[in-house]
Amino acid sequence: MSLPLKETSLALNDLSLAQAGDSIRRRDVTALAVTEAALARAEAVQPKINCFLRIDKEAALEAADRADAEIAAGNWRGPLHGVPLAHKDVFDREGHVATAGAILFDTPATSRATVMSRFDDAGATYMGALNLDEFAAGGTGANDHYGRTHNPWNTDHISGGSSGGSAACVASRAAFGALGGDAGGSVRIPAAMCGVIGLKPTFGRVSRAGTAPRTFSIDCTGPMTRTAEDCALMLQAIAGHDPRDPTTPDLPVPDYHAALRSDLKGVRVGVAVGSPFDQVDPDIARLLSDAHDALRDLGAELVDITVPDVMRLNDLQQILGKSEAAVICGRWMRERPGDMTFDAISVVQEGLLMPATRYLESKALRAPLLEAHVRAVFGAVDVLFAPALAGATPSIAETDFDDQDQVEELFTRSARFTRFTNYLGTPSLSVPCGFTGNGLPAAFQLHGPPFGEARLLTVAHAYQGATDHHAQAPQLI
Amino acid sequence: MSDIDGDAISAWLKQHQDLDVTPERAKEIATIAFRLNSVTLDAAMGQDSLDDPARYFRTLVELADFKRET
Repeated sequence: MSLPLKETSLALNDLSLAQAGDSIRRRDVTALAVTEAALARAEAVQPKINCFLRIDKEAALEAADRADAEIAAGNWRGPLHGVPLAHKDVFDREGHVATAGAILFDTPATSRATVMSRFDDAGATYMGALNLDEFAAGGTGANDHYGRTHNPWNTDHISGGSSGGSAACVASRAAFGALGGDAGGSVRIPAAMCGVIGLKPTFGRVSRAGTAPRTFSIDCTGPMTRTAEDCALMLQAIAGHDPRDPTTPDLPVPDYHAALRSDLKGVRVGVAVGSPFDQVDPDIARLLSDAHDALRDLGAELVDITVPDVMRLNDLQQILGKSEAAVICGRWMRERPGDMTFDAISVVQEGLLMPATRYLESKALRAPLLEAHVRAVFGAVDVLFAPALAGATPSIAETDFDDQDQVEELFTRSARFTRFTNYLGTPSLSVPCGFTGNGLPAAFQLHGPPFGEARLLTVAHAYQGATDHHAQAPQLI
Repeated sequence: MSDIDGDAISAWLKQHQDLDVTPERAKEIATIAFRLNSVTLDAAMGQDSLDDPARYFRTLVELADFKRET
């Protein structure tokens, strides 16, 4: 990998996570210099995009110093050692309140989320906590308590949500990677709107211990990065069984980075056709078609495939998500409704009218419908290609409805493409694929069978090797 | 939606969920919830039988990295 000739702030920020980590390992640059560059960028972009809720500057600089000392002593921990990361404010760290974008919590955590511990063990530098929709309950990046996150490509536009701070932070090169959370598209949609990679892993692939829950059954924690290679490195650090989270199976974790390759010979990509996947604006359809061509040029075989029952699976996801969120938020809705916005309350209220019988049916249907989906789709293709967004990312003004249900409807246009995999629990990856007419990023999704993250990252990595969408940076400063 | 009695839903929510929701809002959320309930019931009735929901976790693992036949 080439190194910057001068250790300017701009050059360091423009390195990928993998390049930054490799440069630190070779001691061509210090972890301290990389962290200072990230912090400087974070402080420069924060007034414009409001992606951080908290920047832990002193702690980050101390961690970077420690990383440099360890590496100098010959104790290199791995590709994340000394690399600055920041994460959605839902992960416990001792001494800090994980706000979940709400103002209801004031007790600092006394333990650390497993994903935070795993990044710490990997030597990553923690920069701070990132903004999100209140209770991770929205899809626009709006937050009445802490202010909205703005899209770094055009600050008049939404970032998407709920992991909007994570997407905007990575896109603006203020951190080399970030974690988000996805119960219906909350990693993939903001990733698509901000032009970064976003992974919703298989349910249970990544521990949720110490993570503020949006739901019990469909939440997934996933990395958001500029490249698929970076995503592989972050996933490697956090994937795998955790005794603190009984939903994480004790399955081997593949070497995601080793699985990456530059061509797609022998890979069969299924292009999802029919409803709802054909309901995209012409601007998006053009970019998806370009991506098909790029994948073909890389050697992939593309075949059309009809995905059964997507809209029904989306509805079943809503039964689980709304019922469980209503339970999780129930105490606050009853005891402190004045400390929750209507936006946060309104999207879970339907859960109050779902009987236990419907909830349990939705849960019991999960196994047979998962099996049917996997055999129908992944019995025929290696990965499924689908849109990530239905249209160009709207402006803030275009989402400024008085009626929250109109906002939900707007979000649902794209969530139709994402929610079904939360119900099934299958992995899916949002991959930037160019820009719509308004200059905002767009993306496609790659879906796979359970624990098939490696093949998604492989296809995305090959695609990024043949295209340069991910290399373009928003001109914020 | 016109068949849904917002006053009745609002009263039910107060009685059974201990929550104050206006009749207008109650009608809106009932419209969404009842549609989702109906879809779920139809899906459930489409199965010969339903197993313990915990089977899901086993199925997820059994289908790990499922590969097509070549």
